[in-house]
Amino acid sequence: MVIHSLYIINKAGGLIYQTDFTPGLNKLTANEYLVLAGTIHGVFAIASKLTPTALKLSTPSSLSSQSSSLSQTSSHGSKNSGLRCIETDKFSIFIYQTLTGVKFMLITSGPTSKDINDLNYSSDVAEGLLKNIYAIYSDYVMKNPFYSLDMPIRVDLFDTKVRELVKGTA
Amino acid sequence: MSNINPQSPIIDFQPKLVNSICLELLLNELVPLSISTTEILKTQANDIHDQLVKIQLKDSYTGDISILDSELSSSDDVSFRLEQIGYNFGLRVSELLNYNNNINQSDLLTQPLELLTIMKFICRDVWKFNYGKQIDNLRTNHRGTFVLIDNEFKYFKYLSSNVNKDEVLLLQRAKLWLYLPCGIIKGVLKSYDVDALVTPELTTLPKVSFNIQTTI
Amino acid sequence: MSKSLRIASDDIWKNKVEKVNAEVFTLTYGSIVAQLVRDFKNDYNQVNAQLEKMGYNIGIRLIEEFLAKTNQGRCSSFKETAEVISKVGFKIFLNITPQVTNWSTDSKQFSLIFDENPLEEFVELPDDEKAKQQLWYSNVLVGVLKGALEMVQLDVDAEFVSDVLRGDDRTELKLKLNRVLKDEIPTGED
Repeated sequence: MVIHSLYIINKAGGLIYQTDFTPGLNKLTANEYLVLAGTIHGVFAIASKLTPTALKLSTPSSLSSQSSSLSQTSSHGSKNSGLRCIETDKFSIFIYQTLTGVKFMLITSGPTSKDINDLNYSSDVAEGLLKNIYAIYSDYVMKNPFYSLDMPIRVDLFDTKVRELVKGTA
Repeated sequence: MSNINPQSPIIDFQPKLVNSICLELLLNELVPLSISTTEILKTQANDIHDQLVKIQLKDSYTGDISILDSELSSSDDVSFRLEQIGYNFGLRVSELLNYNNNINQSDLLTQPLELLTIMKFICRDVWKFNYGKQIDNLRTNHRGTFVLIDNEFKYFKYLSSNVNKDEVLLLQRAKLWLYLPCGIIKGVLKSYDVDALVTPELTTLPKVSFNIQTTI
Repeated sequence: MSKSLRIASDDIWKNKVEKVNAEVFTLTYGSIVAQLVRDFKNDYNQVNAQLEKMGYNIGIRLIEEFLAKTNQGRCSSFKETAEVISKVGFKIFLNITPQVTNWSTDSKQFSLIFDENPLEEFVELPDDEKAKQQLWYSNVLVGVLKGALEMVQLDVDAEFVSDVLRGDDRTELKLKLNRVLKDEIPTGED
């Protein structure tokens, strides 16, 4: 799986970070990036409304045992509703939303096969990666005294660390 | 034959630890805190109660750093406040380290200490205690002026320069955080009865230097 | 549940957390309080307020570190929140686990009892009756809890009700859930 891009969307649906990892990707206009972020934010909300109640109700069981998920790196379906993944022939999108409402979104190469195991594997890799990016965010963005919450992230060290991580994953 | 009573509690010599993020975030807040304190005191001095209330409302939601834009941020009041916090720290830290290192205080006090010895103490012990590393470079003109250089100031680890941002402004703001270590140096020196003027210097992150002008 | 929480957070504390000598932290905090007391000329109510505000600013950032490191999901009840605050939050940040106790009948209020508190290690209050009556030395914690919980959409009141530094038997911090900020819960996380 090739990691193409990373987007970070704040809790109000504003794009606060975007970067590409593979060269030669088409760029959007600044406005289109914002629209994309806003759309994902909106669709995420709608998707969670569409989630059948029965599925939502299944979450408390995972909650009561959630202590064990504490140090788990990957937890299939333990997350609640919303938009977690979009698959197309050419690319996939994976989204991880934190409890504080920040969304981390990866655009990756598309699935290599329709095999469900492959799909699960990619989504595990992506989820692990997204959680690691969240950890870097909590280190290098939250600890930077010059960063205003919810504002665009312009932090060199964050860029560097994220690139190192993605490079290491590829 | 051993006299040790097996029932005696094992004394834990391990130093207590906390997560380093607690210290990092606490240090981050020092500058906003000092600016906010200065603002409040200024308003109080004007003795207009309404304004005081207004200011407190204004920063009830924070998370933004607009307070750093306050014109007060470059005021002497703010840097003095920060230096004072360091000074309080410095006065006490030398006691603590001497105690931990089993250095006999009375020895230190009875024999006049070589200034250079105190400086080495700051560069080695105090720095290591605070920042986990020693000062990289100590210079002196042997007439009471010292320069301490830390090539990689630990606290600036998370303070990377912001892309597209005004570098001068960044340095100017980052410098505010150096008044704390300035105060620490001053406080340690004072605990050995040395008065000094300490000024920070910062040209490229994360390298910092401190100029110390003693009055001896 | 609480046992596995403890094991998981022990593991985080031991293996995933960068640590510093608590004395540096204690001394730094002490120097801040001392300076505030001087700045506000022993107006301890203002000192408390400044400490809380500083804590709030810390809390709203600290929560991200907490979530990223622990992979903690949303709590299903305030009771669970209390357990997580004590056994995970305090454990991985200050390496202490205050007791959770004094639940109100509606389960919306509880107290944290601190048997140890790194902030107050070796601390003595200024020799001033007023300080003993008014200063909440560790008030930064009140702000941290409020700020961090607000970011996960819990509006709480927090306050110290006793402190061994004042000569009380124990140090107790009371937390009361006002409401869950439902409108602000990110969709898909309800």
